[in-house]
Amino acid sequence: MTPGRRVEPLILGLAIASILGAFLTALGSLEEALTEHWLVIAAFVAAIAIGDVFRVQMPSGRVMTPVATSSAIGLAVLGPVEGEAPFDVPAGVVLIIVAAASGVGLGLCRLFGRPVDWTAGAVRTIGVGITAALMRNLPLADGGPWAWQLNPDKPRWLIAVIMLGVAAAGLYVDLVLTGLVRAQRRSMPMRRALAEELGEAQSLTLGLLAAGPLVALLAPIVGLAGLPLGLLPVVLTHIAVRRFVTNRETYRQTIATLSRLTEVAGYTPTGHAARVASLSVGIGRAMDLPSAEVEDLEYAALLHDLGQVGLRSPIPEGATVLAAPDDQRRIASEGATIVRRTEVLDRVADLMERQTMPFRHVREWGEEIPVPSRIIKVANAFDDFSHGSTDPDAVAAALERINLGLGYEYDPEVVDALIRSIPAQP
Amino acid sequence: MQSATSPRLLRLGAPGYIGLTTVLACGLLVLCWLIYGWPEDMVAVVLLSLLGALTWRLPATTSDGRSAFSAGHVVGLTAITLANPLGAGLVGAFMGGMRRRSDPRRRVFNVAVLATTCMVAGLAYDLVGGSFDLSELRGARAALFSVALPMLVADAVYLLVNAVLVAGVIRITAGVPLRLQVVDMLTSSGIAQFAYGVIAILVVLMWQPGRLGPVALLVGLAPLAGARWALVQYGEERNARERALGALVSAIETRAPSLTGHGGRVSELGARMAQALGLGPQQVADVRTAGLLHDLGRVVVAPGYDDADGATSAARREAEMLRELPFLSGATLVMQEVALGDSATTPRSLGAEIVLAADAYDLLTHGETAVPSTQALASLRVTGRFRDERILSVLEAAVRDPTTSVGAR
Repeated sequence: MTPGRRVEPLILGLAIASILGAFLTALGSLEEALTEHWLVIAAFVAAIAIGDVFRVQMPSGRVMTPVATSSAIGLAVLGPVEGEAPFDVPAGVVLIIVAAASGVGLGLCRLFGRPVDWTAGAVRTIGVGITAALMRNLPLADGGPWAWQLNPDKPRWLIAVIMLGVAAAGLYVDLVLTGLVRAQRRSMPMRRALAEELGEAQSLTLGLLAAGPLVALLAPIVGLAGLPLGLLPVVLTHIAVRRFVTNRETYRQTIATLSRLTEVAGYTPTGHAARVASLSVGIGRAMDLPSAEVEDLEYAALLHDLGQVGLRSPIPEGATVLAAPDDQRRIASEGATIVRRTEVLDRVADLMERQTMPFRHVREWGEEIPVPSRIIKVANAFDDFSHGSTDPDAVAAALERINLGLGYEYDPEVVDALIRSIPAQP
Repeated sequence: MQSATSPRLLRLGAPGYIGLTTVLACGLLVLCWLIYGWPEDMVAVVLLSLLGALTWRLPATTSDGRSAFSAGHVVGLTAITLANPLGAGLVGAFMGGMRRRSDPRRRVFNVAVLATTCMVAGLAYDLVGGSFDLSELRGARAALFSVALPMLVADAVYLLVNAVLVAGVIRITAGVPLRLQVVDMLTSSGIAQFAYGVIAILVVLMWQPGRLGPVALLVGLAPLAGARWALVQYGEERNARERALGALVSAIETRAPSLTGHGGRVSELGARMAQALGLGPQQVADVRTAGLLHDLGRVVVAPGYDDADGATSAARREAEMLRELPFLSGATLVMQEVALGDSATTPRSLGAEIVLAADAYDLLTHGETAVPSTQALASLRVTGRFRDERILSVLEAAVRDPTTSVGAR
């Protein structure tokens, strides 16, 4: 089930309603807080805003702001601060400060020409609001966990564990709402979007939910220095994640380099592999394949002609669709063998190996041909027939030739998806 | 500057080195016991030992050695303040003993190295004024001078001692020069390790003055789960990337089956020669990759597609094939020089000379008309192809090195 178009407006509306409610209930406290805790508030606003600018985009497309999120959670659970008065403010004040800081951060993003996502700011505000409310209002003896921070007789370890719990509650609300937004934006089934959101980086989530309490637990000892100190592990995580993301891109470039091998060596026309890969990804997305499968599809499509390096004489214009079926199979098998030797692209090799099998094998004999392999077959044929041209006549002619093999050579569902995705191609 | 290991050194050196390291660790244990006595907080020692052992039993975070994360390092540093240098030594010894190694000699070595490393770092912490009782500590200034700065010194000492001890055994068993190995360890994974070592300060502050006790480990180390996850992904991706390069080798071997295994041997031999000549880690890596792929442009070309000038054409193809891989830019330059071979108009780099020498040697000693190693070396000397006289000397030393699989036949 995909969520309707109302998810984003609903989230933005909920965030605005929460902020208005906070203003109505905590306006007096806000003025007092701004006077008494201006230094603490300024430090956390700066951390959240700067954290918003230094974001990191995961390979799945998910945007993370670990420093901003951790700082906001830290503010929500903050109590005593060495050298300052205890940060005794209502949850509403925390929510207003976080919303304002997110606004400043997003404003800075706009200033630096980076994409601005107001919904992400709204989601964070809601999540942190929940953490702040739970910290102050959990029905426990002696005023609850926030008040316990000022009581030296209460066990510190218990306060720390409760802090982790309320941080987790807010953070998971954040993740679920982000998953819903993602499902709407990408027209994905809600369940898959939530599974990807929650499953992509459980360890990162664990790190984020501990960083906020870490700041709050250091503050009674080292004062405001607890903010940079407590954020240090998250900064290190941020750096590690950026390296991972950069490396993922380099890995993709390495596969792309392999795909160019046949072009530079004179076996296939320039740009053929990249076009087939781009078209395959478009078809895969149109057919709603999971992200991991689309990634394998892209790699297999990039490498689908690699086996041509074993040919004694090149096929004219490298067009495998015009080669004899036995030659097509041999090329696919040779390419798969080369790729299999890497020991890390076995799934990709399997897709490559079966890319030449006609669709009738599925229909008549019930043979299993993976959908990505069927997609590569169609995309490759389209590019071979159209010679990479986007001219409407060339496209129409290529589709006509593919239609001649519909249901026999090519999977009709894939061809439908091809037709749907062609306008999206450059 | 030859670093090839003699068989005698290899036979006697490693056990002797392990024995010396063990004696050093035992001596330090006695010294720390005399100075500090038994740790007062044995609960901390036991908990940190168990946690440290657990972290060492986790799979390695990266496979490339350029960045790594080990919570064991953080645990060792934490033990210095919470236990004392003797307690830290005991924690280190336990961690070393619980590492995933079945070989008893390696286990003994790990115990000795980690115990020594923790104790020397603990002594350094004490020498620069680090405090062992932080229960009444308050304020950023006190935290800075009593814990943070001394812990940073201990962190640096920990990494240096560990690098030197490990580089020593690598020198003996694999012939990698000590200085090169130490510099490589400190400038690659060492930087990340040093940064992660700062986490120990946070744990100590929360454990003692923050009165969180062992829960400080949970709160302090949990944020590292994300970093660890990212580094594991990074390592796997990097490993996958390196393996993906193997497909280029497969393409060469598919096109020219007679070259099967040739690139791998040239790569290994070239890397050993580069190490012996004292080249830096990046240059060694470039030579290794260039050795592996040096035939790419020459061999992987469609029949009839090659230009009249084969060497120039091959060099151009290599540049074109690998142009979008910035991490191979150094190796690509070496490969282009190798492809041009003797037709180059400008003097060749040392890296290219190494690959050419390893390539020529391997072609002479393998295949249908293979000649013995001594004859191959002699014929290379006669050709006078290599302007740097050290090239053939290190080649000879490398092929005679018993620790290499590309040695004399």
